[in-house]
Parts: sequence; C-alpha cells; structure tokens
Amino acid sequence: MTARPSLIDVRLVSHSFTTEHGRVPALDTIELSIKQGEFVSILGPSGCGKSTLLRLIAGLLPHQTGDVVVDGGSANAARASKTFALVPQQPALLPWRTVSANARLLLDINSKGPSQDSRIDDLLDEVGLREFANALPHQLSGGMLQRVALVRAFAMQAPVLLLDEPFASLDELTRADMRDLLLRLWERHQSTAVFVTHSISEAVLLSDRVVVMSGRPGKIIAIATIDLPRPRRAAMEDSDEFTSSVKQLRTLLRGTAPS
Amino acid sequence: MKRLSHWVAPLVGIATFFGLWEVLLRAFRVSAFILPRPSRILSELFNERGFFWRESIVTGREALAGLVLALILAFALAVPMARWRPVERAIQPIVTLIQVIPIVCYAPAFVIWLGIGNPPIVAVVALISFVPLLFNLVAGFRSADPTIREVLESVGASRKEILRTLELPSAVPSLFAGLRVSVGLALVGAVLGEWFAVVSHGLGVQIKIGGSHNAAPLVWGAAFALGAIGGLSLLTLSVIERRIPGGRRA
Repeated sequence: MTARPSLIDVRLVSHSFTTEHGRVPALDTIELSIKQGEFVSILGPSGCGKSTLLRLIAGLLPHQTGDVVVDGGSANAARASKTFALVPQQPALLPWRTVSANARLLLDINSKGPSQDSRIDDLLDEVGLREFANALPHQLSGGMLQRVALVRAFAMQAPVLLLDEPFASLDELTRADMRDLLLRLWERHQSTAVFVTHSISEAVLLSDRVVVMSGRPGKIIAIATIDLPRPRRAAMEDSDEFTSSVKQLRTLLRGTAPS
Repeated sequence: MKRLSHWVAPLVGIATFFGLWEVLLRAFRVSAFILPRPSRILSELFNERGFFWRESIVTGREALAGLVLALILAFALAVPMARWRPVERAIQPIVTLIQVIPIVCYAPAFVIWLGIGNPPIVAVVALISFVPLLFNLVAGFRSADPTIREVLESVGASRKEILRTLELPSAVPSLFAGLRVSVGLALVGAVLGEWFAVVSHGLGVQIKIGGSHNAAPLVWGAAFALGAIGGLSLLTLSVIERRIPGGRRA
C-alpha cells in the first residue's frame, strides 16, 4: 500500500459557512492523503463537517483556505473530467425515469452517442434488479432505490467513488445487505472510495483506513488503519479483530459528540 | 371500477346541474328572454352551428396565439429568475404591479399602440395569461431536487444539461397547473380584447351584440361555446401532460 501514489490530497483545508448568525466554522485545518485504490471512511458525529469535506474533494464547494489536489490537478478539473461518482444519502433518482434510465443518467451526461446498455444490464443483474429495469422509482423499496443509485455510480467506472452516508436511511437488515453489495462491486471495480458515515461498524467493515473526526468544527483526531483481511463480508462482524477495531474507534470517538 | 367512477362521477355531476336548470325553469315558467333552458341553448348552437363554429375559431385562435406568446415570455424570464435570486427580486414587484392593475385598463392602451384588429386582442390575452405561467414556472424550476442537482454537478454536467434532464421535467407539474389557470384567463382576455378592438367577429363580439339586442340565446350560445373551448383545452392539457416526462399521470 505504501508504494501507491496518493490520488487525493487535502492540504490544510479549513472551511466555514456564513449564516444569519455569522460565520460558523465547519472544518478546521484538515490534512488527509488518500491513495489510489484505497477505501477510506470518514467517521464522526453529526454536523462535524464530514459531508462538507466530501463536497470539497468533489469540487462541489470552493475551498476557502488550503488546497485540494485530485489526480495532480484541482478538484474542479477532476469533477469536469468525470473523476467522481457520487452516491448521496437519499437515492436521488428522477421519478419520471425508469430504473434503467436512471442508472444510465450519469453516463449520458457529456457523452457522445448512446451509452453501453449492456454494462447497465449487467450491473442491474448483479444487484438483483434486472426484472425491475423498466419499473419507475415509486414502485421500489428504499433499499432497491439505493441499489439503483449504486448502479448509477458504478456504471460510470469513475476512478473515485464518493459515498455520503448512502445507507443511513435504511433499516438494519437492508444495511447489512447493502454493505456486502458495495464491497463486492468495489472489489471488482478497483476504484478509490471515500465513504462518509456515523456508523463505527460500517466504517470498520468497509475501510482500509478510518478518519476519525471531532464535533464541530470538524478536526481530524485520529486515522486508524483496519488490518482485517480482504475480501470482507458482513459475517466478519463477529470476529475478535473486528470487535477490537470497533472498540478502539469507539474510545477515540468518546466525547466528540456535541452535547 | 376506479376507472369507471373516474369518468362517470363527473358526467353525473354535469347532468344533474343541467337537469336541475332545465327542470326549474320549466317548473317556474321562466321566460327564455331572461334565461334560456339548456335544451334551448343547445338547439340554438346546433341550428346555428356554422355560425358558432366560425366565431369560435376566431376567438380560439386569438386565445391560443396570446397563450403561446405568454408561454415564450414566461420561459424567457423564468429561467434567469429561478437561477439568480436578485433577478427574481428585481422582476417580481414589477410583474405583480402589472398584474394588480385590472386588465380592462390595458385593453384601450393596446388598441392605441397596436391599432384596431387582432394584435391588441392577442396582446391582452398574453398579458393576462402570462403572470400565472411565470410564477408557476419559477416555482417549478425551484422544485428540482437539490441532491439530484449535486449528483449531476459531480460529473461536470453543464447548466444546459441540468436544465434538460432535471429542471424542465421538474417544472412540468407546475407549468401545467399554470396553464390550467391561464386557459380560463386567456378566454377572458380574448372576449375583452374583442370588445375594445373594434372587430366584427368572435364570441366576445357576439355576446356584445346579443346583449344590446336582448338576444339571450345568442349570449348563452356564445357562453356555451366558450365553455366548450375551455373545457376541451383543459382535457387536451391533461392528455399532453400524461405523455411528458415529469408530468402527473393521475
């Protein structure tokens, strides 16, 4: 892992938002390097600026201080050249498009000619939604919708996957399935993943490294390496290594939640 | 079963309304001079169908031309207004002010500017139907899901692509809500325009003639023809909306 060059560099980035009550600091001097092919989770209490950090990396928010370098250039340039695939907390599908048309949405942007439908079909098959290809989003359950959002992101074959608490609004059983599904897709696509979550076990199961953040303004308090073997599956959650990693992170996080 | 009540219930409502009208006028022996029975109005429409058809085409064309003009203007203003708040803040008070002045005040002004005939009628229609279209379109563009917008932006989608894939379809339900209001207003504008524009054809002209000659069947025949134009336009709108991405299917 040490030999791989870093793909994303966040250098001394701070960020604050202007509200009616003045400036509210969101992120405080963040320094973070993410290597090619790495799965990194950003873990912290609500409102610690995790999503803001993700948006800064994606070039969706202009950074105020410091620097964000992606693949040797600016975050904005990386965004324009389709480096990122974003999976938001809500599935965010277009209600008037069918499942397969939604899955194709991002491929159709900025592209000349028709997209490769076979890739979409294969992915839909892989997530078990083949027979729903022509269904409309309102006919699907929450877990199925989020699977379409995963397909939409993976279909792009983007080098960097940005996931913003994608499973936060799902029930526990569905979440476990979705974690396995994400792992399987990610293993095959070899992309770099930045995963925002407030679930400790989710971060441990998925990640090579977990970035632990404090409450507002968000500051990195530790970066933990998770040495569990790959491929990982939800069934590993009962192993001793897993539990001790969770314990370690819980200790780090104690006291960070805003009272 | 659901489909049946979908069609039957409105028909029962309409039949009851006109049935009561018919029965009550017969029971109280109301003179056709004051208010004709629906059967009398319908037979007038049927007997003079060539005449009413020609006059309806004139008024329908005026209303349609004005509505199309209003739609173009509304789109041209709604896109920048939805995108930039300051543009919306600058335009909204003026548009509201134009709207609160009764439409009858503009009709003579348009005749002075555009001369007699069709142009001032189309202008009155456009002005009266423009405001609901504009405000509904701005609200419609704003209703676009911000998370989907961000997903599109994260792959470098241009503003044009976001407009095409997200904002326009998101605006379809409010656009059609605006159009439903504007259809009625456009007919008001067309009738009113005909009264001021010194024209010799159109349902508005016939209503005026009927009024000055105490010809109740002519007045009510023209009113029914206007109702038919409006009702058919609304039906057409819902058929179109069902076929457009983003449109409501109910």
